[in-house]
Amino acid sequence: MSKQNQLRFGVFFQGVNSSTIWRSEASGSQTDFASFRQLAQTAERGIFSAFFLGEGLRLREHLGSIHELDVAGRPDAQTMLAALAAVTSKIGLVATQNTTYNDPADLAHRLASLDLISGGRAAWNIVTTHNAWTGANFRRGGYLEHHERYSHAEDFVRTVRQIWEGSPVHHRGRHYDVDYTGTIPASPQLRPVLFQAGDSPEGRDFAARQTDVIFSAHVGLEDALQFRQDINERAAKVGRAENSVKIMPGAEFIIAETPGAAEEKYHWVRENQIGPQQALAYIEQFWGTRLDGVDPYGPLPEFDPVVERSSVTRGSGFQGAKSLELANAWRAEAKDKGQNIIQFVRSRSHRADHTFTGSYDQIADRLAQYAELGAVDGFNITPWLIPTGLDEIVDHLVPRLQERGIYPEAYADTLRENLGLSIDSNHEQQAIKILSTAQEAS
Amino acid sequence: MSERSLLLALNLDGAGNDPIESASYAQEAENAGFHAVSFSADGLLDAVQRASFSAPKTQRIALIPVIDALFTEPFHTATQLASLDIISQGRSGWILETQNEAVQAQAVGRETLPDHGLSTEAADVITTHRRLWDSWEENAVIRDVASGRYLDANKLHYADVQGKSFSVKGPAITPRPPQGQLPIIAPAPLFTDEGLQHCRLNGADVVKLNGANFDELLAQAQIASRKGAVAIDLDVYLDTATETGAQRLAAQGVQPTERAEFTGTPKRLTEFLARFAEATANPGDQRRHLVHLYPGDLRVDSQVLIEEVLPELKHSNLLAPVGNTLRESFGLPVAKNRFQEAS
Repeated sequence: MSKQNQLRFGVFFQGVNSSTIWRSEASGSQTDFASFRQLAQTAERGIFSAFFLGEGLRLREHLGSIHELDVAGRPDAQTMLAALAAVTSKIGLVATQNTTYNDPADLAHRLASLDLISGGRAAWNIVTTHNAWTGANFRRGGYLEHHERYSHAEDFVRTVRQIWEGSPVHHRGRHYDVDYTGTIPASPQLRPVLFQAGDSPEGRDFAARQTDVIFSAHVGLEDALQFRQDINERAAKVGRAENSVKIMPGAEFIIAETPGAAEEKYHWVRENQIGPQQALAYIEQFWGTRLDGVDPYGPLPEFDPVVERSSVTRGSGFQGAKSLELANAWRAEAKDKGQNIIQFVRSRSHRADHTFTGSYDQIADRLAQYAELGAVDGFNITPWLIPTGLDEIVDHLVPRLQERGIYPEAYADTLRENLGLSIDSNHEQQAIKILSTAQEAS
Repeated sequence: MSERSLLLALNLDGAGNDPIESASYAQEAENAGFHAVSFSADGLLDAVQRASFSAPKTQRIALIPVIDALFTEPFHTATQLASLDIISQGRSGWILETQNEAVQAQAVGRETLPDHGLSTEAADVITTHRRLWDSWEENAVIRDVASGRYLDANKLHYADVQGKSFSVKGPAITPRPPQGQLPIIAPAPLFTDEGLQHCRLNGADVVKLNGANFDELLAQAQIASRKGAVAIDLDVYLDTATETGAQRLAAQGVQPTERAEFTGTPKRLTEFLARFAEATANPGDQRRHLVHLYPGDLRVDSQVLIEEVLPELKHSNLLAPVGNTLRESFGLPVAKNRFQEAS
């Protein structure tokens, strides 16, 4: 691995769930365009490669009614990114979009539009939700089985890519038919960059075959190295070069002038992300009942869950689990560690992560280690405050990374270039060939 | 101000796939006093995205995409339109089309609808948008620190739309748009027979009339404007110092559109617009009516419109004021929330 590895940053404006603090005075609107513009422009000042927006196609529910405790209510990703394209000039614009509740021709058209509107800065973060609960918002309903979601997604992505390549598509699939020829010329980066976040073995194989960048969950150094190796092995099997699939784990950076100040901030952030009500709600989804009388500062409930399998907060991404087994294990764990409910929930949450909490210099050094070992290609940072959550990172961390030679000093022209994606792989060459033939013919 | 006044919209498809050029036309149209610019889908970049790109670059002018109601997902289009309204702070609307053609249907693996089914389908789609846009009450985001609640679930409602060919549960994933309800402009044929009642009840706001010649258009506008806001479409090829509109039209050799076609001097267009304002003036009614102009050549015709037609209309006090929102421009009342009213 070369020591010249550079890290790239993306920023993920979550707009839902407990990662974003809303209780603080410093927390701004989660919906107004001004918040999106400010965060995107701050990121661009810090030479971030990408600005991410998520998507959830049904409002979360908890025990049968709308989940009230967390931030919710996002504008449409691509509509927002098209407006951001007008007030930024270099940063990549990444839209999370579902393969189950979109039509390939429509989605291909809209993503190609965003790519051209932004001058070659668009990307698609591919997600594959499949439940009938979300399907209730769509014409097609919940037509897809869990085990079919990746085969369906791959079929879908192939169709979209064919459309982008400009060739007429006559697709007869198990779940949909498409007769369509794209009408939008290719952007300066050829086609939108493809991101994907699935972590199951199937998801990893899918990413190795189809995507440019993995938005991974593997933040710790050892974990990140192992994941890199695993992805490289899977990519090699389909003929892709080492490290050609880029990896950007999602992360929170909690940084301050001194280690002590960062630690203090860490506690403030966690307390605000998971308050007493959220801690109870977390337990409730596994117990399957309201815990109104239960003290969040006391031990886990002594009574057993009322459901066999957890009902889970729908739309939160949790899978069902066997409730009683889980309850017994958790009670034992909390007792063992001397944790009350709120402490237990905070420790279990992936927001317990402490990897990038530290002083500006400590974190810059830690990141230099990631760069040197080639563990990742960058990080997709979730700010816990909107819209000011990147200010310290851009003002204090980025310059330190640039001094260490592990962060870009300037932008290239397209997102593809900014992510260091080459177009020398076989399938990209193939795509270019098809594209140029189609363009000559038209 | 005079009751004889009108709204003017300029279609920007002539700027093609260049969003920067398109935004710069939107700025010019805004400065000239146009009430809206429109973006239609045909073969170009996504209309909602083109409108959205122009939003941060303009302040007052409305940005209206043309979107098909048959072969799209109502949940997606409702979210996109609400988002455009959020981004533009109340300056968006929807020109609804029913593109019942095989090429549109086959792109999404569906079949065209029988003609008698269009009205019901469009009405179901409109109902879905209306109910989704109301599904968040305006103050559903409460940020109540004491109870730990960001949202108040009592102020969120399931849309529960059961259409003839689809159903949508809701609520929306996006808060209620600033206008509450975006103005929906729908073509007249959808309003016939039971379609008329169905659409009116569920609230398309503006009926778009179609007529082969100007007298017919004016006669229709006069009748329809008594019941509600109307819109007419015109292709315009205006005379310049160097060539007539008719010459340019002939030179372009384009297929005629469904729209009425105007060729001639700016003065004659102004006269026609004055007649439209006259025909649609109803004493005591604050609603305004729209003339939607499709320039034959955006570069040439928008210049003539901006330099000659709009100044003359302003001078004659025929241009309605530009509202803070598109609803305001149309003179539509504040949109009540159907779920709030019921409770």
